Amino acid sequence: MSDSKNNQVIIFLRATGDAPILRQQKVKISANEKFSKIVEVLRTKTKSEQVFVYLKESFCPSLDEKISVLYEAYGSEGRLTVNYANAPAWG
Amino acid sequence: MTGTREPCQAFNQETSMVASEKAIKEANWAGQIPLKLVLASDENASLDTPSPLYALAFRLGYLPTVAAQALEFFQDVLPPGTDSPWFEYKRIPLPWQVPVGVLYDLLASDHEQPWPLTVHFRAFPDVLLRWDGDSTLRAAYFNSLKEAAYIFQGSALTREVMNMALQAQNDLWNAVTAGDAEQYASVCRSLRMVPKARGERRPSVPLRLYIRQNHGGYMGSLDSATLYTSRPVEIFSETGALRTLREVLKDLLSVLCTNAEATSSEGGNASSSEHPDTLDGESAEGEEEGKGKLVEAVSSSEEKPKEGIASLHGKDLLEIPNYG
Repeated sequence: MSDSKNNQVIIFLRATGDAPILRQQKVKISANEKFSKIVEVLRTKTKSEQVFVYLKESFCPSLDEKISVLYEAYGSEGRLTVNYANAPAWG
Repeated sequence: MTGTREPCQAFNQETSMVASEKAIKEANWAGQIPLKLVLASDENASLDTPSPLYALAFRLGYLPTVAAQALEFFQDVLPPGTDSPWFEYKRIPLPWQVPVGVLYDLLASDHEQPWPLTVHFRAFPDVLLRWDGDSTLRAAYFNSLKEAAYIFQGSALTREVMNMALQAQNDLWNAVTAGDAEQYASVCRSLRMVPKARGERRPSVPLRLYIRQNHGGYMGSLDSATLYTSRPVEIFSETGALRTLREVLKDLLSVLCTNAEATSSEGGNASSSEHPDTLDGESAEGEEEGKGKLVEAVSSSEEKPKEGIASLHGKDLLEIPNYG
């Protein structure tokens, strides 16, 4: 198994609703990080405390879950797509 | 354990698989854990030490549902401030989103009863997911339910969860907090939470697993003391036979434990390399080069991310105020 530092997942950040579209829509995050890391990144990037985050345009996983597991379960084409919005989009 | 005799008797009858399943469910729902709640000493603004509060918590319930009772009991001695209840056991802050029975089974030494916990109402710790009041727990629960629905049947069922009538949601939530198996079942029946294949996705069920990984020694947080995962698990094996929980756990444990070893020491088990849990670092690198600057690396700092976040909830659905 490779060193965890090389074990990264590409996260595609897709704006939904009125959320600002980011200049950099793709970020690479260590597979060992938790999903909360993505939310943290989005908060920083959108300069907003309030961000609503979804996978598969339908639910938000446990913030404690590892990105590697989410990628395995919900990723496709080498990346994990995360939708973000500044208001509830999918409940 | 008490109250679990009936399932055993039921197994003796050939035709009673359904009946025994029902009995096990009922015993599960009825299970309660006696708690001894002591107020954190630095939150006692009175001269006397308040007596502890003894309370029962449903195994399938959550600690915050006990908090209201505790607040009423300790209110008079609290210093001024805003109430954000949280609990700790042996200095480990307990995550509010984990069912009480899971926490107890993971952490309590020698099945001690009552389970002695310290209750706090101030200085909510960073290691726990953010707490924004009572609606937080309910929102997290329904969000989990949505994920489960997605794993079972995809976004069609997720939409059904989102579109549940408010009354049905209230009934479901009341059933969870009151340990009412019957009401829970009656609401859930209308949701048809059963696994279904769709497209290339094979029928799967949601599984959440907590494993205590060390005993004794200092535990800073539940996080450092347990392995945790929450993921879809396919219900059929390669041969098309239904997988048993034992088989699923065996596969999952070998992956989880190998990963844990690999992060703490070099090498790890050779079998880990053939498991899909190992991500393909190369394809990610390839895409990075292809897209050039579009990809930005996010450092994996050791620093604990400020969790909490994000209201992940629908305001129409859950009537959650916007806190932002």
